[in-house]
Amino acid sequence: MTLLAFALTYGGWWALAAGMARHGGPMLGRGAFPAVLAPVLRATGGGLLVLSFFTAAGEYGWDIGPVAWCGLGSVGAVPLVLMLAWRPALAALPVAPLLAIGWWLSGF
Amino acid sequence: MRASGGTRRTTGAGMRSRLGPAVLGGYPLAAAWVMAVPVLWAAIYPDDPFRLADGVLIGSMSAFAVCALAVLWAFAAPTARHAWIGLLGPAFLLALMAGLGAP
Amino acid sequence: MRHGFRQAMALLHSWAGLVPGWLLFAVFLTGSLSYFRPEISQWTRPELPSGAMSDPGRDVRAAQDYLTRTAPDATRWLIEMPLARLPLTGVTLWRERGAGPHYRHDLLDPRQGMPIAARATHGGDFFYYFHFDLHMPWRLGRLIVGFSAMAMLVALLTGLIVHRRLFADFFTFRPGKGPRSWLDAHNACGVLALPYHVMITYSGLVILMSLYLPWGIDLLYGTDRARFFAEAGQNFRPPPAAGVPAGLVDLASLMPEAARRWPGEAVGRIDVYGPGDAAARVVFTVADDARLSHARARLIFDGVGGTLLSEPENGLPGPARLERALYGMHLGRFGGPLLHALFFCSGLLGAAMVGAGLILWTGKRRAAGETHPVAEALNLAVIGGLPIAIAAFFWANRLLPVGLAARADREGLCFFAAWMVAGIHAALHRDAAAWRTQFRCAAGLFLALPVLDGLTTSHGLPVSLPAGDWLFAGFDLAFLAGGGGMAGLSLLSRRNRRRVAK
Repeated sequence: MTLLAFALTYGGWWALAAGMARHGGPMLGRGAFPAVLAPVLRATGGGLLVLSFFTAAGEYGWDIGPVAWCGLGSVGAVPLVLMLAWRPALAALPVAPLLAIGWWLSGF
Repeated sequence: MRASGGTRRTTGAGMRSRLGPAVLGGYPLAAAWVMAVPVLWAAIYPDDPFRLADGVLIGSMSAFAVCALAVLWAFAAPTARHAWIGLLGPAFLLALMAGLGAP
Repeated sequence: MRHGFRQAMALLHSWAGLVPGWLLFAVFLTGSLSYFRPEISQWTRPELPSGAMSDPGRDVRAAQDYLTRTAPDATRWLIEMPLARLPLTGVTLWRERGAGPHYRHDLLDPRQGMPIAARATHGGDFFYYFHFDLHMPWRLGRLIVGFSAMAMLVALLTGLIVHRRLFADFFTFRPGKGPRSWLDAHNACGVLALPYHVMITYSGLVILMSLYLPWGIDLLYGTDRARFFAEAGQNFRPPPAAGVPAGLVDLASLMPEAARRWPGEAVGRIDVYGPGDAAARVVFTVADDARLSHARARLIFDGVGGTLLSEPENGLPGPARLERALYGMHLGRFGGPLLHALFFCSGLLGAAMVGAGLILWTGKRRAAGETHPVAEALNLAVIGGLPIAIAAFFWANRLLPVGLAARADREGLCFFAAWMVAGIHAALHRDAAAWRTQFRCAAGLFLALPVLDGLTTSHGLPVSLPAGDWLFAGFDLAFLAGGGGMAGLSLLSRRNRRRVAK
């Protein structure tokens, strides 16, 4: 369940970054950033972060859960920032496998 | 952030005049705050059986924010004189209140 | 006016960050290690049998037997129960009069009820105490760290004011561009872990607030400070000794009551006030690994008859609950190894933020043609030197002879000696080559630690990994990762220099 929460935060940050004019183009692998997509991506990112909050709270309870969520958010953004500096187009690669393994491990 | 050499030199002089109020003014204000808050708390909630401990804890926990804001004020005040007055004035009033109201 | 305000805040930010920055870097790094204090205490004592399952009833009986035998005249006992993270019983005693030391702390092997037969070391306590006490006499270290934490709080606030494009630059890191890259790294490390930085700085100040700002307690409680700490839910205040001898209740016989009250949670510690006195009190406190708050549930027993007296903390008022919650969050003992690792990584981000800020300060001035030799030397001495010193501590733990006199303190001496050598090196050479030398040195020390561990103990990676001994395997892997990180930094500093030279 912790891995699922981590995958959700990473995916959330990814979508938020992809919805920004500065990062969107290189991340989505196109020359020009499609302005129509931006609000959708940003809303998805916010939604995934909210989901990860509830996942963390479900795992750790309502006192420790929010602390765990903050920690996951901070630590989950670091690999994304490094990926954006190195290969922005590849930053999306870990999202799906992480979500799948996290989902599987949490036994839904 | 990229201040030119000239501005940095003038702000460097301003820096020295604010160091005094920041370092020596923030602490007395925080110290007066931790004494005044519990006195005030006990006056507002005379029936709270834990009023002394509650007041001391509230005062102490918030005092670090007060101290940080005091340091910010020392640098944000228009002049160094304003900085000193804005810190030591409230500190004096709070200490006076604590001294008069203490059981 | 607005422009002037921002400029004043930028000035304050750079000085509030620079002056205590070197110390803050060390506090963040050693504080991060302290999340694994019990694990380090175990790794530094490789002789201990691992994987011993504890039996609380037996452990309590063994500890009570040991204390009754060795310290019947003590005024207070403390028994810290073995945990999965450190399967040893900690026993501490305080004496007010009579023969023997006034304070003693021993670690018992829970199965034999005897002090452990392991090398003398401070273990994880070394880094834990360093991060707020600096191993200085009196309260000097705590005052210095408190001043630095206050400056850190100011630097965080001013940093938020100065950093205009907080959200626009959220994910931005542009490497290989000199000071611009350091600014990006500084901002990213600061903003990404901002909740952690604010929490850890503020709660650190709150934990020691009765030292930093005792004036409220002094004014309202006078000399009776113990009453404040009791009312704030921090300490238990026992009744005065009766002066009449009476046998202490069998502590193990009280365990079932604790198990009934705290289903699924273990007893963390047992305090005995006035053992052997008719007014003795026994306080059971729940273990601190399952709850966020440090307001840990307590059971207070009559120390002679063993009747349950009260559970005062259930009615703890809001401010005291908040203080205990901040305390618990700073310690971060809850939530298991994954959460400890998250706290550790957040702490490393804090150290990285401070380190990048320090390098940015000198780098920006160097780019403008100014050199600040002292600041540059201190940067290298702390950022390059401290990892070397930390590695030296672990090396000393494995290499110093087990029978050496004052062995535990000499391990600490090796830490400071290695740091001093790195500091002298930094003072003599402050160029990019010196940075590479120190990073390489730290990388070598960390990468070789698993080898040293394999040669000097029976817990090397080839043994621990197949056996699933995650403590020793985890440490070796962490050393490899740390060494790899250091090697990466040395490569990075070479590449950066080439780009700047171009």
